[in-house]
Amino acid sequence: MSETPHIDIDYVANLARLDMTEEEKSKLGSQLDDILGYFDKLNSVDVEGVEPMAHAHRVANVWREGDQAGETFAPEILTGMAPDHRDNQVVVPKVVE
Amino acid sequence: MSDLHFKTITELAAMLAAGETTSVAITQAVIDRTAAVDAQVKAFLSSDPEDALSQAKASDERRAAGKSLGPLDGIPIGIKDTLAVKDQPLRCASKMLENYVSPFDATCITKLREAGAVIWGRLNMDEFAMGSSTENSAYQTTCNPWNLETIPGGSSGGSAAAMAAGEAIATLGTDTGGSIRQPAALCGVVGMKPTYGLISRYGLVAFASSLDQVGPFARTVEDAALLMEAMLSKDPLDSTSIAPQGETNYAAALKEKKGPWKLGVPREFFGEGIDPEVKANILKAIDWYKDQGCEIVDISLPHSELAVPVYYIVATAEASSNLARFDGVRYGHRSDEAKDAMSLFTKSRGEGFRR
Repeated sequence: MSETPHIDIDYVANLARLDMTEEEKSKLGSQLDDILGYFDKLNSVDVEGVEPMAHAHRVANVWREGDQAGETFAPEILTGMAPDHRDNQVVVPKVVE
Repeated sequence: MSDLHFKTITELAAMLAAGETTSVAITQAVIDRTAAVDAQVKAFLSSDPEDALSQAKASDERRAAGKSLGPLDGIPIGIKDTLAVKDQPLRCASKMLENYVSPFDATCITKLREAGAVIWGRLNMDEFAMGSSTENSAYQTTCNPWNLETIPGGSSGGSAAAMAAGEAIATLGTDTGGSIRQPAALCGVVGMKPTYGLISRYGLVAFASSLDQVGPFARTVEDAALLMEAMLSKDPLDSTSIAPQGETNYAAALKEKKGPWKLGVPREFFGEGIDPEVKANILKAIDWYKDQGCEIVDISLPHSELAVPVYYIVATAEASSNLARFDGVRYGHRSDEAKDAMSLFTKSRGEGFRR
């Protein structure tokens, strides 16, 4: 077993664009360390000769057979869900100075 | 007639066909039962009795006109708060989606409607289906109806508890890593996770997409079979859904008795951590099957101990991708303190995902 894995919770929270309290950081940080420990456990498994797979079932990529026009939602229904909207557009805080 | 709410789909379908009851009577019984017990059980996040009764009335009118849609026609079915039902709240038991109302039906809901079912209520769960106790709901903790001091399991705890308490005739849940099977076991009802792809995931709020499946809670295996038959579909809106293969007339197949069966008992499941009372009861159940003439075979699933590590890696990675859409922009919670792009994301998520 290698040394106890550790995750930098501030670094990860920043990447996830997620605000956390100190209490949450300490609780979730140690839980994430436990999950990292699982990688070690899996590393101990001999997978020599096992074909890599993306899913337990036989799944393959499905291509769309060309774009087909279908029933869709009126713009005001979708933009109407936004926390802030105007003239069928989503309003967000200013992002470019 | 006083306990319509505890009957099975099969029993009620026979009574409806014989004209001994109506969908309005069944739906009203479920509504009354929910009003009487849900302050204690807390299985429902919300419900819309008026809407349910109008669906029930439509069912009775179809039947009177000789146009019944089958055994589910007129049966009230409770829905986990992670499945989209048009014009009903869809909150995933999270503050992130506190004011969200779905503009469309999930495919499994469409299929149930085509079978005439009465779509009933929004059932509590762990937030975004992450948990195994229903204590991680942002709104309320559901209790196990058999003992209100205990958990119903989760994440589909509301769906399981509502069944055990007679607050629905059947319910839908979702299962990523046990979220139907475990609460069904803890509440003493039938629950199953179908084979991946059998039921469309369109309209299910994604948690870990390669594992998520919609499935039934019911009072009997036969009832679960009826729900499965109604929901099977190869759906163009879910490219991982598969065309039903082989025998899909499940309820009829159940009646052709093919037992006594050969039952495998994986020895790894009796290892470290099993509660002695649980173990004793499972051994008792094994004896019962033996008495029925079943052959019990000792088997080994040597990779069992790796299941949880694999699950935690796959589920957290996929959840991270799936929940990235909750950013305070197009729908869901937006923080009042959002002043720029960065704080829009960080503060909206910090407040929305926090209990």
